Amino acid sequence: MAKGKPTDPLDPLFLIEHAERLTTSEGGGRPPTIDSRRAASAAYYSAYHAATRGIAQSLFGDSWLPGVRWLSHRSVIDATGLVSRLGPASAPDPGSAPDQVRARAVWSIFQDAGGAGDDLLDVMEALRSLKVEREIADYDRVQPVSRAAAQNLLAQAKAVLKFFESSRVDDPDTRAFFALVALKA
Amino acid sequence: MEDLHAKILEAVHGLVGEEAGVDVGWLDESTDQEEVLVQVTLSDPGEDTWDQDVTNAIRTAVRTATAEVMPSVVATTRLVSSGDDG
Repeated sequence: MAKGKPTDPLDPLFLIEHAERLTTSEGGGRPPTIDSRRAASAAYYSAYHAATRGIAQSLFGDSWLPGVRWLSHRSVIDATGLVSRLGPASAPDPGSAPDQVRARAVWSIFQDAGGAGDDLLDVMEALRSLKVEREIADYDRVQPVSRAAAQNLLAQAKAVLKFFESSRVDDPDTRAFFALVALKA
Repeated sequence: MEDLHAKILEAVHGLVGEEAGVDVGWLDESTDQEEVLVQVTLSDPGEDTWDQDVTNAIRTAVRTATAEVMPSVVATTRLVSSGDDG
């Protein structure tokens, strides 16, 4: 194998492109719902892999491919909740009571950064929302998953990917999110 | 929770009209923070997707309403179609 930048076999873009083929297939009759379910599931995984790739690259540099395995779904999702709750510039001061020390620390970090940007807050929620949808798509046999819904989730996943491939990963609010994920891993 | 539902319903209706439905419940998941799942039912987009600007505006409105009524809670929004029959 040639040396150079490592390639990612789980490149989020590959996952999205694969899922888009599932939701745009043509043919007679109604599209099979299993295609929509697999696409909805892939939408979450592409967003998760986009986030963890950005975090791992920030933490481990060129060794990010093995390093990314230290991150977990739980650490990412929990950190998104912290950013959503304590990150906005308008978030209230949690106060200085002993049980609020950690929350106040997170709040202070984001206040110092001028608050989490609206685009970061959108991404935080998209990650949680896509995870909820993935669990429905993969486990819930009662709730339907339509093709239109799956396409909407893929659009959300693409927005997440775009964010983590932008220069926003170098900004203090995004780096604070990365740090929170790492601390929770 | 009733106050939160009313606040979100008002915000969503202001954005997309009164046909939209809103359900709010605790997200049943082992997480270290309180989290509500807000399900917004929009008119069926058919083979299209919803306008991303509109869906982003809904999510922002839900976040704002939640921060106002229940600041210690994290909200996650789920958008479903009124015609979601698979």
